[in-house]
Amino acid sequence: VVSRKVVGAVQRVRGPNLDPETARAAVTAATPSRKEKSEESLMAAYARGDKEAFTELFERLAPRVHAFFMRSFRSRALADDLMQTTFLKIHRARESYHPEEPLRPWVFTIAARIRIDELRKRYRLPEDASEDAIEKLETAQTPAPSPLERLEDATRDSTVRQALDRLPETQRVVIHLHRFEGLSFAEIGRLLGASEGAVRVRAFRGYESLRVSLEHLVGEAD
Amino acid sequence: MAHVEREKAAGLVALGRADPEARAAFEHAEGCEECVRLLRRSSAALGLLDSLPPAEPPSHEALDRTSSAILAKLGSPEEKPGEGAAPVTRARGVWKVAPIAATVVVWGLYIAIARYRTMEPRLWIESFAAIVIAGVSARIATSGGRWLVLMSAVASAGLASTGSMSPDLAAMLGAKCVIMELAGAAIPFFLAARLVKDGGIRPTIAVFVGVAGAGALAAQAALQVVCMAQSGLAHEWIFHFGGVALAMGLAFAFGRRFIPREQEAQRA
Repeated sequence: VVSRKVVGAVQRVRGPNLDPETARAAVTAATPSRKEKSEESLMAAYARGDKEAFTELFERLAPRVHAFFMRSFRSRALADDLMQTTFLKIHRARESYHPEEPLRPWVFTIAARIRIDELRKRYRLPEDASEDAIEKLETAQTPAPSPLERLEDATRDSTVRQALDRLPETQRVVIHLHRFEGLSFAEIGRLLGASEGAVRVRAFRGYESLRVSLEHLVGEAD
Repeated sequence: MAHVEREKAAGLVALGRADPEARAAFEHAEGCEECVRLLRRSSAALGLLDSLPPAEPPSHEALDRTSSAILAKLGSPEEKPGEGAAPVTRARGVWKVAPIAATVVVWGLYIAIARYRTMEPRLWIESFAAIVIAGVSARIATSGGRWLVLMSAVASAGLASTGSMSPDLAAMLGAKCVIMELAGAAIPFFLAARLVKDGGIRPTIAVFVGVAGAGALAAQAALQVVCMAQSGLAHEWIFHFGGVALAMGLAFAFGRRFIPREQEAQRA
């Protein structure tokens, strides 16, 4: 039930011409449903064998896990495969999840392990190659944008996307988890197997590169 | 505070005021036109990230393939609903008693098989106090405590410092004391490894360090009343405390090998 007071407040913010029904709909859309279960409780129910809980959790998390791999590898087919691998691993490891802990860092820890295995395969690195070794290799191999690529920066969205894509993968992943998944540097460090300081440095480098690449768009915006 | 460094501006904006370094930069910028412009432009540049359309979603085929594979597993006769959580609950139930039991068994066994037992009441009281701490320490280790797992090392040092100033090192006897402590540590260590494998306890390195320390402390508690050289301060520090420290160090070095890769997701 949305109270008249709340509807009135929305009308004050959005303008007096906003009709009460629209205001009520806006409030309802912005307020999380009481029935909406937390991801942690869904995971606990899924671990007990609840199929509906799994389905709901999968609907919520699959696009996020997929987006993580898309950001990392920029290939939809590969992201599809790695998403599947991640969920199969989550299924095998579901008993080790403790509901009192936040779910997303746990899920992304599993996804991050799959990502690093894929990177090791890609760069033919030994099984114990660390995140730092991959970062060094990547930074050396990341090419500068070609004149053709610069010409392709026709729209703002494609410029932003390409600025992100041009970052070394190790910076891209940190920025994705920090900016788009809202994880802290400490959480990212734990799930990538790196120190919080190293993650912070990597994020700062990435954000700085983005600032430099996107500054001309800000100029236009001003 | 000095001006905001250009190379750091975007990172500070991304962190927001919750971060102390970023908060200091924002506070400085309130009175500095140059820095406020830099932070605003950085903020606007990063704001462009938020306006990006969502990445290409997973294909319907991949979604169907993945969910039906897992739903089939959930519905299969080998994996009945509820089976997933059941072993964890059982293992947790056992584990509430297991670490305490393991330490008490080590302590009791060593005292039972010893040829010599002291008659001095003070040493028995110290031994009882140490075995209680060992049990509590093992329990804490398996319920997720981190720094508290060092309780065994502190208690071990306390116990070692009760020795007299005797210069006799009794090195041959000391080597046996260290072996007894390492054996005492091994019992709860491998018990923890088994339970980690079964998914019964949270797999972290702190668990292994904690239970190994508790087991070694239980052995040291027994040595307090059965070791013929226990009154020597040097002997106690080098062999009795040293054994506990060595057991915890070895657990730290080798414990990770017993953490299954999937479960390592939860490591501390």
